[in-house]
Amino acid sequence: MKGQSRPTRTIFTIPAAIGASSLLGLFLGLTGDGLGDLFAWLLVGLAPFTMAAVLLRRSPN
Amino acid sequence: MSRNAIRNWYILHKWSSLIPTAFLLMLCVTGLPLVFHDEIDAAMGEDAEEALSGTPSAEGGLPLDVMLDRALAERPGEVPLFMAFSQESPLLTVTTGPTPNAAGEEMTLLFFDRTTGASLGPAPGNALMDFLLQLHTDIFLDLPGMLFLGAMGILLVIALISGVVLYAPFMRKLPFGTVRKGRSERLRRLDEHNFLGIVALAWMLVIALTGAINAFADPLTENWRDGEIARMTEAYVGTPALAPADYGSIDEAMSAAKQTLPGRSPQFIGFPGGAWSSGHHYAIFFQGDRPLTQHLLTPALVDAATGELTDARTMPIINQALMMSKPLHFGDYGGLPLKLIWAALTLATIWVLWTGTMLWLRRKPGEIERRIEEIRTGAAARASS
Repeated sequence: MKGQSRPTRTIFTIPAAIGASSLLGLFLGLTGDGLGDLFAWLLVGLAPFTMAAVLLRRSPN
Repeated sequence: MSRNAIRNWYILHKWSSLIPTAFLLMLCVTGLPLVFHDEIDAAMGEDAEEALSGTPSAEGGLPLDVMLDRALAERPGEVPLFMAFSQESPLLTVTTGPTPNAAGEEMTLLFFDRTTGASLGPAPGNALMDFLLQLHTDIFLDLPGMLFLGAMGILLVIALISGVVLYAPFMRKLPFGTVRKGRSERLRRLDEHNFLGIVALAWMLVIALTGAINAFADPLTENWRDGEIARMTEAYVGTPALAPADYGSIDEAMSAAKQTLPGRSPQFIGFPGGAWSSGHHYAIFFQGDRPLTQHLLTPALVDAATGELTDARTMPIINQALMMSKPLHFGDYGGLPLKLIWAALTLATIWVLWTGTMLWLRRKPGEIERRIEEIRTGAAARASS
């Protein structure tokens, strides 16, 4: 990866997946109870989970 | 992307964030406890609904006319403004005021148990939460304050979009999730700003847009009343508004409305002369009958004197969007786990605002070219994570 330019599509692959997961989760939570809420927690929760995973990992730097 | 394009997007990002930053930080800090208002109220013993059990007040209980009489007996000389139902408990609320078009601060909210008919007294107030809510809604400036905060929300949307545009050249040579901690404070802040910003992007967009729509709630409701409601009640043009003494049975009005909208659950009734009805009607707002439509309300207008249905029409798209915006903005529709996620994302937003402000404050003056170069090269990449 170092030194190489990534195409725009690749740059946004993971962010777009997290964004889509958030939006779908918000929608499911709003339209259903029970199972809908469970999916909402998992899908919207992906964003804070990703933050925690990245910020809490040990950095070689 | 050319240097020139980066420069323009950078300038747009800078100003669309700098202008609202202080207000957005205030909104995040006040919004955080507001997400947990149910839990905070319950912890302070002020959750009246928790202690009640029985048929939900939206489905049945004592006659509505009996409940209204009890409410008015508690507030002699006042008139009814709203009656609201719970889908979960027998809690029934009645709002009264000195006149049919009373302003918010003149209203009194009373709680009742519709199963037993017991009065639960005025709605318990929580001075701290009320203060936070008002600061969050209109910074104590009523409509101008709401519109101002709405404009800050729109600036946030612009900041988010321009931020995404700048994310592309910055990350050209860096893998997702790069946070370089060892090189300089500025670089760590820049990486955290970009990483947290892009991960929380969808959520922040939803909160900014729904917040902005909520800020326009009053003019949108007024517009609906003066447009749609006026068209639905054209036959009443020229007749003077119905006096509170001439209001007829609410139970009859409710059964007339339910014949037209069978299987629907009522959410609240707007009494004649208020912001949510005409001068002659009980406006009974029913929820949708499917999960997908439960937040979309359909008003049935019933002649408050005769108890006959005048019309029932779904609300215009923009007002439906307003209805959907409230739960989406508050995050209180999916239980405690969703609220905790809301809190985590709010904290992330605070950090994005804070790092963004620090990046601007600790800049070396007059070096815009250096910052464009920083974005263009991903701060001289060397990704190590």
